Amino acid sequence: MAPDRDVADVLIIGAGASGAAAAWSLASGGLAVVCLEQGDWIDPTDYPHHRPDWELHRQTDFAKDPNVRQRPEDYPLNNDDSPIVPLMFNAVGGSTVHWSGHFPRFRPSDFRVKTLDDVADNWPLTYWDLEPYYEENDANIGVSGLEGDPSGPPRLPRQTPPLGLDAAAKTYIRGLKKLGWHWWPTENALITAPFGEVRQVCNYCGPCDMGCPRGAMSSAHVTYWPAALAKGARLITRARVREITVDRRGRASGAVYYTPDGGIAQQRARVVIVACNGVGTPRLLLNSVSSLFPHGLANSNGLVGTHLMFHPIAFVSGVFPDRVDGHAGPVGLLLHCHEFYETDLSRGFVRGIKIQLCRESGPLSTALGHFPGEAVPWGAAHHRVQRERSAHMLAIAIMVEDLPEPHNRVSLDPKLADGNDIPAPKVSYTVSENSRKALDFGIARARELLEAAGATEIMHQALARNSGWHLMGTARMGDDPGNSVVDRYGRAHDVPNLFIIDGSIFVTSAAVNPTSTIQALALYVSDWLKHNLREVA
Amino acid sequence: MSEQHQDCEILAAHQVALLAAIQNRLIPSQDEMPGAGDAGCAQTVDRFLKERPALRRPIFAALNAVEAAAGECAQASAADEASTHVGFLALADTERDAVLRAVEAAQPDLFRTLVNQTYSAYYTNPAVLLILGWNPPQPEGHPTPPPFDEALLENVKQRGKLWRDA
Repeated sequence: MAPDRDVADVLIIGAGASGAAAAWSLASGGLAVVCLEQGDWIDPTDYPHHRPDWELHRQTDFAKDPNVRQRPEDYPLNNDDSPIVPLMFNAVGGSTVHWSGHFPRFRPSDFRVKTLDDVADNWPLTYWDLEPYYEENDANIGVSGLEGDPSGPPRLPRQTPPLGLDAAAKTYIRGLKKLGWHWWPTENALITAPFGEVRQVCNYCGPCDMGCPRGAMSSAHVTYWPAALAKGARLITRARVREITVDRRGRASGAVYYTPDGGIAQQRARVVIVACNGVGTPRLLLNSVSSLFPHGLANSNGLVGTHLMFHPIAFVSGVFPDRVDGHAGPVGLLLHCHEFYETDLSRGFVRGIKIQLCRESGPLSTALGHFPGEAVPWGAAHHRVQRERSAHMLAIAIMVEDLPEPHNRVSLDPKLADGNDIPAPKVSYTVSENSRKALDFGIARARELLEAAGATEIMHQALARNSGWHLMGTARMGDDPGNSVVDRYGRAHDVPNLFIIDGSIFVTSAAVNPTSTIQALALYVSDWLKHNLREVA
Repeated sequence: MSEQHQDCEILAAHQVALLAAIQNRLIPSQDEMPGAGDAGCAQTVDRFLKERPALRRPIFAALNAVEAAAGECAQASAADEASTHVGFLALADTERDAVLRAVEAAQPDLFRTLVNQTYSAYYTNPAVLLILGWNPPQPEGHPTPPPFDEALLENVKQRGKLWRDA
């Protein structure tokens, strides 16, 4: 029988970090790939970096929080029951359109926390299973950094050199050397030397969190998508998926989506991949209700949406007497310290923390106290304090491993809906006692470091509300169908031709940024799928 | 109906005058730096209110709270005189600051909105940024620093492996 040309081999829902990597991998393998994305391409001229009011756009159309940003392609979230707000961007490239681009890998121990520390669960795969995909991903997108960091396994030379040695780096290094702690230049999804034909190298402009108009950030819309489209993948933008459809056998048959004019369309496929992030994916599965799946797709055990993990983050800021020009480089990228990464129970908590040595931003960020959580005072002292802090401040981010807990979850809000009347997510989350102790430990260490580096004033924000960049765990991976949603290949236990490849499938969160691991997993799952398509589809 | 300020679409003329006076106390003029009200930040906040309607309720409420507190302040300082409504604009600078601190203490979230929007207007004002020497991030970026010096990492390397096998 001739293949039905309207039926894609693989339908990918979501064009962000994982969807883009999978689209490239599968299209490169000769598969007919269609991707539905609710957002659109961001026009490079839309970025605010050339305008005097560029910092204002953090509060408007380039805000991290979709409830603040309120672009038509965004969906609202009910965050009333969470001290941390999920952050995301809905566009081709997803949240890699505006991010810090910090690109560390998990460590081997991060996949084996049950065995090593008797907490949570082990992953059904190891670091070494993913290692070739980490390398492949780095080579595909371009990573800056320096191999040889003794805080993790060896890796191949980075594609471009680490960021340069500026005043901010020298300031931190002064403190780190005094304390004798581990440190290393961060690995970044950003190019510091030519890589690829059309991208410009980083010119240290600073606000990566509002996107990169030069294409220096290795975001999915400048790396994987052009390559995937060249390989024949088809990307349909402004296509908001309402539900994944199933056939009478309980297999995924495609998706129904809204077109920009409000019409309804359907895309059929032999295999469906969900790549909508740790909030969007459970939302879509829970909205995909049918007689065969009355509680949502792939949710026979009720685990979809549960075990939500963020990385709770505290910021600690230091003010220095000399200029450190914190604004003059990628805001989230500089150095990292893994001195306290592995478990040491004498600290009062299990698992570990990452100390990420960041910078600052422009004068408005300083005035509002974006990082320290403490604004410059109004009144007679305003100009003096603003002068003391502006270009004289650096911020440290303390990131802790968040352990999976079933009561932290994404569910459907009974009232809230998006512009197409699709039920919106409700986030219910509490910071665990273990995470709180880890944050407090990290804050104390960051204060020590800033003091050793010469800071004369130190402020901290004990828990940053706008810090839910990393959305993980809500469709967890595992070998046991009673305790997980997908298997070791990202395949839903309940639906044999449905795959999930975003941060939802994380079993644990590690204490490092997840995108490198998300993309490595997407390539790993795609590779398996390419070799097993006949059996799966 | 209130008279509209010629440069504003949301705020009435008296609200623009009140907001500018408040802003001149939040960020006062000093040396070469203009006060926020004098720099036109009330008009900029009016634009914010047009573009982001959700800001209107807290900003209007904050302005009303300041006016109410100003009336109480004036009554307290002239207790033996006939009680007449006196607004914020009639107060001296020290009295204005006292009023603002009272509102800040009583309604911190409302007041914080007023302060944040004033800061947002001031530190995105081209004339202010010109005085402070800030340029937009692009197209120039910032100077590329010297290459990283790997020799700085010798002590870290000597410590050896810091990760657990698993």
